[in-house]
Amino acid sequence: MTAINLVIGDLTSIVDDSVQFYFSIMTKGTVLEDAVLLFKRVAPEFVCTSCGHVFTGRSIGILCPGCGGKSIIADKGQEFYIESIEVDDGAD
Amino acid sequence: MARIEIRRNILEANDNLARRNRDFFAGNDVLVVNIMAAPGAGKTSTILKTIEYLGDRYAFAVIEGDMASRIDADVMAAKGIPVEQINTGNMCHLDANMIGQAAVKFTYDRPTLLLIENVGNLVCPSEFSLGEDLNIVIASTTEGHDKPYKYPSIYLRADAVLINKTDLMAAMEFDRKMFCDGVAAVKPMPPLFEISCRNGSGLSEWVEWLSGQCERKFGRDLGKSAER
Repeated sequence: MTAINLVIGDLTSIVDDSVQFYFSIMTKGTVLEDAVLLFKRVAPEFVCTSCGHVFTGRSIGILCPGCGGKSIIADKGQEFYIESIEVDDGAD
Repeated sequence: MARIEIRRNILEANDNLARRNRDFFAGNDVLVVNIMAAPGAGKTSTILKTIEYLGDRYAFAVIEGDMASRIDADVMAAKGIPVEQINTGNMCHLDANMIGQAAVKFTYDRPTLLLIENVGNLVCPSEFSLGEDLNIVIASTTEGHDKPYKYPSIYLRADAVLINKTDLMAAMEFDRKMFCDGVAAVKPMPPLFEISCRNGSGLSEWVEWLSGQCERKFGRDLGKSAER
């Protein structure tokens, strides 16, 4: 069995079910036909513009849980990459 | 089972083509503006007004992205503006490959401002680099003041934000403060221009800012070519 580990940020427009749907169509009749897609979702991170505290949240405009300051989007939440694959190496 | 680390961006192919486009544009003294907005926000009107206000300061080229039709391209062509229409079929955004193919069809014999009108959509266009210098998001008072909260990703990429149709701001009960607070909750507030393509208000400020961006790029690029 082959498994593909995907990382997808919640700020992207990528939907797990859609990726799975197209992957199944595209791999039919290939060596990847039975490969399993494993999705790791990454929640957006926000950084407080007052104290610099970094925290996760679901939507923009949330106030810093530390000092109540305003926040902006930090780096995380925009991922869309293949992290790793797991393949049968015949070891066990 | 063996685990093999990959760590590769799935949109890598597009990113590579965008990089190639960027090199092509730099080599031809082209400043590229990717204009993103919802359908009906006034992308075409803003492009027309921008070119009208800039006059003969630069050469211009326009790439129109729509799922179907040549309506916008015909408007540009009727005014003598070099234009390429891309019809994306069912795709909701432009990508670097499309831009690369369209961009080589123009002639660049002096510093050129290339304005790309992306497909009207606040979601997917933000995820595909085209090789642009600037990303501009146009909001309009008719679509409401809540869009930065609902579509933060597109505002995250904005180098400048325009609010169009300000002549209708009162009638639309557009809450300017709520809109600006929304943009500022996504990223440090980018330059904001309140414009009306209908009555012309705010266009001079927007065009002067854009012209400053052109001078920065062309100045550097022209200086570089003078060294050769």
